[in-house]
Amino acid sequence: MSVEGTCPVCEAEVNLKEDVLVSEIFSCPDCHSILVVDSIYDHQVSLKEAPAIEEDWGQ
Amino acid sequence: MKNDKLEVTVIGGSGYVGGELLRLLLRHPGVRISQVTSRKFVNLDVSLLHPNLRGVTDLKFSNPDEVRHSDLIFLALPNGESMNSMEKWLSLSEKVIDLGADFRLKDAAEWQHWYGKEHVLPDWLSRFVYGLPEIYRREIKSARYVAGPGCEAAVSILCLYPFIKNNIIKSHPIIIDAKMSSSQAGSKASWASHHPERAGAIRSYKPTNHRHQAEIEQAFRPFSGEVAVSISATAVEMVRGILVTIHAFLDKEIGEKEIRAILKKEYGNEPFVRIIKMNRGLYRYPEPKILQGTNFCDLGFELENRTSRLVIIGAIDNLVKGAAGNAVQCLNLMSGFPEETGLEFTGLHPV
Repeated sequence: MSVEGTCPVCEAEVNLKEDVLVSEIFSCPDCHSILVVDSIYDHQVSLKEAPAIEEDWGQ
Repeated sequence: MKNDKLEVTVIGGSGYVGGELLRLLLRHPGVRISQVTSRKFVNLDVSLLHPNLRGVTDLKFSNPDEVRHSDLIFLALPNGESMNSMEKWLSLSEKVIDLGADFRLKDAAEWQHWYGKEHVLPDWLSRFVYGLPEIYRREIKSARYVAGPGCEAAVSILCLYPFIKNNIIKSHPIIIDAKMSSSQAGSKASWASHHPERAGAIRSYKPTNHRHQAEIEQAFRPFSGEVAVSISATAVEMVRGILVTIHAFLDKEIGEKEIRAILKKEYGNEPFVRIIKMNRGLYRYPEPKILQGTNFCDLGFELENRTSRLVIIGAIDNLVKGAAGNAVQCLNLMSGFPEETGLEFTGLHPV
């Protein structure tokens, strides 16, 4: 059985393995955004976009 | 068909687009190249001009006056040449894919306006299908005559299509800032291509009135009525590739998630269109560098809410998705091959 969540970037449904842990990081299968598991409750996960380092080539 | 393979002829095989056609067709499992022509290089090895094909083929250039019948003819001729000889090619093959500009526009007056001379076969313009599979797949499948899009037009149409079709952006202004590579100028040397003049250039060579505006606007008429696009083209230090940065303005409030949903609806099943908008890594938006040799069109976007500006970013290899690869994709559709056949190359990194 898997746990389910929604990508906060593209709203794709995301299925994760049952033993997924809070703070675990993975890629959205649809938009490839890097996501982090924020909380888990009753086979539903709440997902957040993982903090990213801004690219700065000078502006 | 011979030995269950489609017999194809490439007319004008000495140029860069011709060379790319040969590279792709020589590895296509359903195709046999029966003739490659070049008036200037008759009887010389094809691999003399396309050294990447050494050991891959022993084909020689033949005389275009001695072409025999084949199942499909590709025309990779300079603009203005295919219309002069088209009647001959039509008599020598059931199907023709023209990669030049002669049959891209439907209206003869419009063609004359943009290309500066009268069209020789105006009645034939409407018989050619505009060969961009992502938009005209159904028509291409049943077509006998296909006109391949201009490279800059192809990437711009693919970028704009979901937004125009779904009434997301205003019909004008739409500004296409195009960074162009040197191979788009063809294989014939000129003053502008002379190394001391071209190397290191960031040259604004067509800031207004680019010809490809006509075919971009034409492509959208069936979906949205009149739109007005403006291209500013800049030659940059690159041999292959195009990067377009398109500035359009929203016609209604929309968020990133809705845009992603629209792109997924329009392109989710497309084998060669990829949505690239990453928050990590170096290649966060489309970039032509890693598309060299591939048939991909990468598409990204960013919203600027303060000014209602939508920036759409698109990248292709001008010689592949912008010409030869796209033409092979059309051949696959016209001949019943799986659409990705012969176009599986994933590109190189680093390159």
